[in-house]
Formats: sequence, C-alpha cells, structure tokens
Amino acid sequence: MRACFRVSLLCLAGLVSLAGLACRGSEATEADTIVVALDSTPQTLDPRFAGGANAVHVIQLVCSALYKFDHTGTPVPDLARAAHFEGPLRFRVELRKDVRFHDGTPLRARDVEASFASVLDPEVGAIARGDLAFLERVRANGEFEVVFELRKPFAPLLHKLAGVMILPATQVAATGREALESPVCAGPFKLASFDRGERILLERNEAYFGGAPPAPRVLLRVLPNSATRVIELLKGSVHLVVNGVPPYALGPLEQAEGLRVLRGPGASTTYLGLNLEQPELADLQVRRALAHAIDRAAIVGTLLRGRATLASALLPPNHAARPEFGAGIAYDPDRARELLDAAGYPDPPGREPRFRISYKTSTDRLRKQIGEVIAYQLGEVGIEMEARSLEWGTFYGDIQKGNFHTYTLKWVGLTDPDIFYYVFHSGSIPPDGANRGRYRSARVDDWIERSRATGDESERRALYQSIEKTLARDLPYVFLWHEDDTAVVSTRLDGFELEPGGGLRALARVRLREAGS
Amino acid sequence: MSYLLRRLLALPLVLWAAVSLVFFSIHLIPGDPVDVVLGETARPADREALRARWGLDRPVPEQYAHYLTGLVRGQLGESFSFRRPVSELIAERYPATLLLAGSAMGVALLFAIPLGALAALRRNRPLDRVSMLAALFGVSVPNFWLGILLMLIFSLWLDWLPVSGFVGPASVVLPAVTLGASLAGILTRMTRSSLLDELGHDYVRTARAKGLGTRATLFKHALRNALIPVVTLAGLQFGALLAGAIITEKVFAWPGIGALLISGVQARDYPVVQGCIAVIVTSYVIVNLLTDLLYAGIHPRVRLGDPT
Repeated sequence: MRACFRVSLLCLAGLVSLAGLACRGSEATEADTIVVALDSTPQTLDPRFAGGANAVHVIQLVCSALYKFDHTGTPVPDLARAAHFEGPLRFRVELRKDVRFHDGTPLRARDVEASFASVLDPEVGAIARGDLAFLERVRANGEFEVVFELRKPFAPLLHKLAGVMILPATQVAATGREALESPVCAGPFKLASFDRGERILLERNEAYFGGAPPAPRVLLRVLPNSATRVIELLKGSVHLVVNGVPPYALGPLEQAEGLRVLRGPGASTTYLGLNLEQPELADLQVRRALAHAIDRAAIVGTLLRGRATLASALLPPNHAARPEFGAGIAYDPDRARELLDAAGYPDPPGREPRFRISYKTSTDRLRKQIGEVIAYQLGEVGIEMEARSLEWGTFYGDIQKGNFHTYTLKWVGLTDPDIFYYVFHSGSIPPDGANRGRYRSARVDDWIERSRATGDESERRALYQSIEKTLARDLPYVFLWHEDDTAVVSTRLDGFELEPGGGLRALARVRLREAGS
Repeated sequence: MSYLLRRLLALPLVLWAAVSLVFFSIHLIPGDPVDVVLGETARPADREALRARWGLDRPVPEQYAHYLTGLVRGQLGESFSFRRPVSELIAERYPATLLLAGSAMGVALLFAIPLGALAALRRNRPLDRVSMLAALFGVSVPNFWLGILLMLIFSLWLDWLPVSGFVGPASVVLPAVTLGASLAGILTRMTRSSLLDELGHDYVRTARAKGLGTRATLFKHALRNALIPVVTLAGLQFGALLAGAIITEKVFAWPGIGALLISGVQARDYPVVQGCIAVIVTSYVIVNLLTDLLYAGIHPRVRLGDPT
C-alpha cells in the first residue's frame, strides 16, 4: 500500500508539472478586453498562407492591403492613396505616406514590391498566387509609388490587390518561404500572442493610420463546439460571435438578458451542385425538375428559422453586378413530375424510383439535415437520393474529382464577380478551378473572358447579368438561398455592425462598456 | 530488469507497427493535402511544386522510408497546413492532453475505489444500489452531453467554474470529470466485484478469526488484492482516455492534441496525423509498462521477469 501511496504522490507531482506546462501563455482575461469566439483555429496568421475564413478575418484586423472592400463589396483604397491606369497594361499606385508597420518602420514602395514578389514566388507556395496570374511584374518606383505591369487587361485587378496583405520587406526577406509566426503588419491591431492556436490576443495599434481603435485589446478564442459558444455568451465571458450560433439557438438568445442578435444580408450563396457528366443530370429537363421539386421556402422557414433569402443567382441580392431576378424556380412538384416524364424517366409502378442519385455534404449537422429534407422532397417526385455526409477531406476530394451526382456547399464572401471564371468557365474544371459540375458553355466562357478584359464598368455589369441569366436557365447549380449574416453581441459592446461575409473589421471601431454601466 | 529491458525493446516495434498502419491508412483515404491547402485557384504548376516540396510526388514506399528515417532521428516533419515543425505543435499541446487524461484518471480512481469498496461492504443495501446506479450513469452517458450539462450547472448557473479553455487549475475540473466519468463507472463496478471476491476468500476469514479488525482486514489484505485487476484495467483504459479526450477537448475548447489531430485529418496534414498518433501510441505503451511495474509493486506474488 505504501508503494501505491508513493505512486499516487508521483502522479500528483506529474500533474502539477503538466499544469504548469499547459498553462503557459493562458493568462486570465483583463476586464477591458473584447472576447470574440471563433469556431475553428486559424492554422497560420501568415497572410500568404492563410486560407480559412477565420484566418482571413483575423488577418484583416492585423494587416492592411492596398485596397479593402466597403459594405457593398466594392474595393476602396486602404494603403493606396490614389491610383490610375497608364494604358490597359500598366497600373500606377501611390501609397499613403502616414502608414507605419507595428514595429514602427514606415511603409515604403519596396515593402509592397517585396510582398507581391513573395506571393508570386512559386517556391513560397502562397495561396493567392493563383489569383495573380495576370501580373507580369510589380516594381517600386521611388519611395511611395508602385507600378503593376499586367500580362493582359484585367478588370478585377482591384479585387485581387485587396487579397494581398503588405508586409515589411525586411520581414519577407528574413522568412523566405517559411511561415511567419507573428506577422508585423500595418492593421488596426497588433498580434500580441497566438497560443497553441486557441487564443489569439490582439492589442490596439496606437499608430494606426486610420485612427487607434477604442478597444485596447481583443481576445479571439477558438470554441469549436456551438453549445459552448452559446453558454459562454450567456455567461458574459464572450462578447461576440459572428455566424457561429446555430439558427435554433438564435431565438432564445434574442430573449436573453445582456445580449442582442444582429441580422443582415449575407454575402454567401448556398447551392446544390450538379454533376453534368452524369447521364440523368446532363438533361436540362431533369435539372429543372430537381429545382421544382425542392421546397426551398420550407427549408428556410424551418431549418434556417427564416434567416435566409431564396436565391435565384450566384451573386447575392445586395451585389452591384447582380441582375433583377425573382425568387428563382418555384416549388412545384407536379411540374417536376411532368418534366421527369418528358425527359424519359417515367414513374415505374410499385416502389421503384424513376432513378437513383447520390448527394454529398459535409459532417455539419445543419447541412446533414438539409440533405435529409432534400432527399425526402425528391423522393416525393420519384427520385431516390442517397444523402451521404463525409468528413471534409473526403468530401472535398470527391467533388473535385467529379465523384458525385449532387452536393451542397456555400460560396462565402461573394464580393468579386470574377468568381464566374473560377466556378463556371470551362477552363476551370478541376484541378484548374472550381467548375466541379463540369459545366461547359461557349457563350458563358466568352462573356466571362470579356468581363475580365473590359475596362468599361457598365459593359462589365451587363456581361455579368447575361452570365447570371444564362446560368439561371442552364442550371449547372440549383441556387438555394443566401443565408443572412448573424451576430450575437453583448449589450456592453458599443458600435458593432455586421459586415457582409461575417468579417470582424468593425472591431476596430467598437468599445466595451464596463459591466453594469 | 530483463523484463523492463524486453518491454523497452518492444516499444520501437509497437511504435513502428502503429505509425506504419497510420501512414498507409492516411495515404489510402481520398483527399489531396495540396488541394486542401492551396484551394482550387492554384495553378497546376504550383500544385506540383508544392507536392514536390512535401515529397508527395515520390512513390509511397519511398515516402514511407523517408518518414521512418526521419522518425528514427526524432524528426516528425513539418506540418502542411500550419507550416511549422510537428514536434513544436505537439510539444505545445501535449502537456494539456496529458494533464486532462491524468486528471480524468485521478477523478476516476478517486470516485471508483471508495465507492466500489463501500458498495462491496454494503452489498445489496441502498448504498450499494446508489453506487451501482451512479456507475451505470457514468458508463452510459455520452461525454459531450455530460460536459454541456456540467457547464450549465457549475459554470452558468452556480458560477463556480470557468466554462471552457484553460486559464488556471479550476479549468481542469469539469473536463476531467467529464472525461473520467465513464472510467469511474467501469472501475467502481470492477472494485466492487473484485473486493466481494476477495472478502469471500479463506485468508480474510482467517484474519478475522485471529481477531483482526474490519478496517485492518479490508485495507491490509482484501482491498490490496482487490486493487490488482482495478489497476490493470485503469492502465489499459489510459489509451481510451487519450482517445476520448478528443471529444472532451472539443467541448471544452481544451488546448490539447485532439483539435490538432482532427484538423490534421481534415486537412490531410499527413505529418501532423502521423506525429500525433506516434506520440499517443508511445504514451500508451509507456503507461502500460508503468502499470505492469505498479502491478508488481502492489501484488506480492508477482515478480516481473519470472519465467512463470
């Protein structure tokens, strides 16, 4: 028994040591710190390698680009002061002169040149490199001027420039192709610590060129479980969750003391992707039948608690380039049956379906439920759909390889209408893009290419509208709905406004009132 | 000593078998790490360049040999998605997982041994029934549900403990109870049945007949023998605690290895998954070895290394 006692003491000592090791960097939160919950860990905060939505949102608080997006998704100058084209292949940007990086060094044109050079370097493997194929060269011209030389005229230039965060040239040179542990940027907040990827502490940048943020600190906590996020909100230990509370919990939170729920039009589109290389789905009548068979309003009303707008196009309703559309194809199961009969898929006697298709989605609970409802609704018109929920890596691999009949996903942050090239151009079939349904239309390809080349905004908008109208007719996707952005906010947080896409840049303008005031 | 040496020599073999299994499994499942990291806008040439940089363009047996060579040198490689050495990522997170699993084991033993012993001593009385009901609850209730229930009661309503994360010693209480509940249930039942068995043996009757008090009989003789299977089971269950910690870590936003492993699987981050599994397997084997040593310590008839 003495041995047992000795072992117990040893174990206790081990646990205390482990607690010491595990506790490193996990200091208690100060009272004036705004605490924001994220649903997943940003794997890196190096802007060159960060891909997930949360990483991008955090980086937007720390870093700045030449351009940023305003509330309508239009690029507006950020580090740029002025810019103009010198012919179709030369774009000259003049930088602000009042910008300093977090380490105090002033922004110069060579920093912009080095940042773009790093992203364009194939050895570095930056995520945005694929978006910058139109760039021939980026060079500093003096201290405050940068010249972009283009391979060909490229209309979405400003959208792409907004995706490259500017780092000091010295930092870029020092890290080479390695990821930065702690990026030094010129954004409204400085990265104070990034502990185990679970807690990201930001401190305000007193020298921010847009004015120092009112809040001294922002702590971003990664809480992967939605119930945990809700309990933390109710307790008051988390002050803000954006797009991270399931629809069924929003109603009760609206009634909770000390919290308010904000809702605004989102910049996302949820769609049913169709594989046009599958024999049944290659037939337009079948695709129309699917669209008529899905009662989208019922799904939005129940599973999404009414927090979405029915979609009829890829671009969300508030987007400047979107044409005027109605609510899309109406729910009409009788019409769906007629179309299926006409397409040569009559309803066989007995329990046999007209045909069988598969449906793939992620393991997200809401997405699984949506899949089950769609499978039921298609069953009502005689289509047997096997709904399968797959973990992300397998799901993503399958849809890229075309190993599916149908799937659902959501495009988020739809600000750049050049997404049409990425999603519907015949040159973007994986692995060269995200045309996963293998949609091919010479007319749409032509419009997309012209929209990229023209410098005339009204012509560009007209081309986008033609593309949207053709897509609505050809149905490579069944556009389902645009989910609203929602935020659950502590009533202590003054001044927070939702931005389309669920970004967090408004944190640079908010203040946390003292408890009880 | 020779027993200890044999077990230590077996460790690399077990580790090799486990990492080999994981290596080939993760290469078999669909999903390309390059696509997950670079997304669909990447140019084919960039995709190939990254694949070459990570060594994924080589044949799988060559990748395997390269991985094993690195492992022998103590190198776990660099994470594809975090772009940092895997050993650093694990070193940052593993103490928290071990702390959670160790605390859960402590909670389980703290509840199970007294409760199981009391249940055995009060066999078929109300205390026995309540203990067995509690044990059944512990075994049956899912981790994630119990965790949220505990959060609601002790964090939100009573405001005694933090909801999630790790900001100090109090943070470990709820995750440890959540993770340890199931093991506590199993060990309570094991302690009860094992002690009942021992109490029926002749040596206990003899001890009593010689005038030894109930307490001395229980603590010096019966309980000591009854704990042997309990300790063995607890050691074997440590691996289950490490595996179960993944769910508990997610519920409590615990900064351990679980979230790292999940993100590694999702991103097809082969070095992260292989590194995490290697560390978990090593821990499991070491804990089993320690269990065997402890077993010899508490059981007078067990001598490690004896041929019989």
